[in-house]
Amino acid sequence: MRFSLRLAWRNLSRNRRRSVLTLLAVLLPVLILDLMWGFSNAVQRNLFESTTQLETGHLQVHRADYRQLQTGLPLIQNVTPVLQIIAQDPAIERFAVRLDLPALAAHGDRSRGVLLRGVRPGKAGQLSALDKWVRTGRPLKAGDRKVALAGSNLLKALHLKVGQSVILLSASLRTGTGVLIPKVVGSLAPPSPQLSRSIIELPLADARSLVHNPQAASSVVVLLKDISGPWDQSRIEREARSLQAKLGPDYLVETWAELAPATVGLFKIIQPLYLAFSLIFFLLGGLVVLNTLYLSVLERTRELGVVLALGSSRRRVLGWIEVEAVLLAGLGALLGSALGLALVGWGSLGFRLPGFYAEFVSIGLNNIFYLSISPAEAALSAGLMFVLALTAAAYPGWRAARLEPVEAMHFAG
Amino acid sequence: MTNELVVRTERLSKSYVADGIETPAVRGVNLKIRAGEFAALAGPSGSGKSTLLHLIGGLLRPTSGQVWIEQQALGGLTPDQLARLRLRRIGFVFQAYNLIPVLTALENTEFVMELQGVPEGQRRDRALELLSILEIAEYADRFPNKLSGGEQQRVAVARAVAARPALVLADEPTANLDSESGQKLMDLLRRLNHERGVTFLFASHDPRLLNQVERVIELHDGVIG
Repeated sequence: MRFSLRLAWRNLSRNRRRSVLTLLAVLLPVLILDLMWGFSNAVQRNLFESTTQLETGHLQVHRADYRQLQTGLPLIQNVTPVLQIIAQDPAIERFAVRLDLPALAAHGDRSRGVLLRGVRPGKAGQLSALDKWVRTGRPLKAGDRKVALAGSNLLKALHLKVGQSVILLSASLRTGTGVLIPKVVGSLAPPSPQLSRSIIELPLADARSLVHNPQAASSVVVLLKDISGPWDQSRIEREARSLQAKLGPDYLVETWAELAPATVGLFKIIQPLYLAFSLIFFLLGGLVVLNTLYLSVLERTRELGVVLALGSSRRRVLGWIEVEAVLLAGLGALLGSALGLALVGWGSLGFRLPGFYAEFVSIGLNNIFYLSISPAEAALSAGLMFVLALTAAAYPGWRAARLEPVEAMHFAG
Repeated sequence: MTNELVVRTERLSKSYVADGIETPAVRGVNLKIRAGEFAALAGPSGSGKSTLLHLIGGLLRPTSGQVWIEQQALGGLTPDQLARLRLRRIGFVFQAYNLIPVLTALENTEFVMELQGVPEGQRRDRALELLSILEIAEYADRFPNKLSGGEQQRVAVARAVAARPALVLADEPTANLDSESGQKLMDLLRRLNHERGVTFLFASHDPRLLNQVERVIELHDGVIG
């Protein structure tokens, strides 16, 4: 085996430029696939975090009939028993009460339909990323009353400035009408322009005053412990079932995937798209290996004829070509993997894509991506290329093994 | 030399067919080579020397007739069995040396032994001994492109005899060598024949070689005569 390895290595060293190019043809697909995995995982995590932290949480608790209600607000009239149960659940890391209300916001002669979100100041940032989108002014603070944060696009639409007051009018058949005139203390610039045009955040107590119920909530948003991405979905579903059993039939526990089906749909597209793209590089890599070894066999036809004449078995000749392929493919896959993992490792610290900024932000993503790759994904990309390169070597190997010694020795090539 | 037959051919013929035209190269050759012989097939170009050598070496299939190497008839052997027989019993020396360019002189000498599965230490010792007999031990670590034609041919001889074959077939071994190198090579081959009892069968029309062999087998138009 040592002899075969030495022979293969020296044969590959004969035409170094070609061998290096072939090595690159093996290395690059592995590197690209590793980066694709890394980026695909980063996009998925980013989408997942944007969705769960900004909007849905991992789980949400609503009134059981909230989707069926045609009129009136789907409010949980007394959220306290729900909170007591949630507080005792060891799988839950954090939770927050939200009171989302449709309302009319008016300033001067302008008015807009808005979504009021009542949150407990201080806790809002834990579960809703709104706080981190404060562009001017300040976030809500504990003890705040009759203050609000508004989306920057909404402020523009209402010709409203931080420091001025806005009239909020809520009306519902069940809760009656409510009016509040908070002072805008900050503007929000959430990544979603739609949200920026419609969101007003205010203290939970103020929102409750609009529906005349100090215990009301529209949902309880829950974040579970140790969830890193959509790949933990089965755990999220398990916890949802467990919480649903504890809360009983008056409440409905939904997972983020049920609340954000569009995001789930995106996940289903992203990975196959990346994989299909990588596959092209893999096929090209395989073809280059085939071409290199085929040319190498062609160049060595006389030599292989001599080897066969001296008494080498055809299997042995095939073996030599395969050893060359193993060296090329193994080294290429190893280097590609090392380089890919190093780049993914570097990208795991946070990776910003300036050129794509506008596109990503417009779909609600954070512009900082954290690349990641699982050991199984890394092994798959290296292993796939290795197997493909070996498969590509089969034809040149077969050709070499089938040579007729005398004809091969007289090959003029 | 003993009475033991190393090569026997019986009514051995080989024809090549090209564009529907059959050209006979060897015609009904009956030949016996005994162990320890130092013999040559002689004849002008196109007389069928190389074809006969290749038929004896199992590199070509005859159109008719039979070849025996020692007691083994080659006729019914599969390509793999023929390869095994060549590996174990026949050594080859070619006109163009045909060393493996990526192996050193020592590694080239070891090559056939490596194919035979001779352990590394043993094959190295044997290869060094042969290179020493052939007076090229000092070039053991050189690659073929750093050796002269004569030196390369001596490495090819070392490779051929290293595996202790029953027979060494040498096709025009001196054709590419100057007279001094050719003479030196023949002296060394003769020495291997005398001292080690290696059986040599050459194909050549080089008078320098033919003058030194014990037996010359003349071939004309594929017929011994």
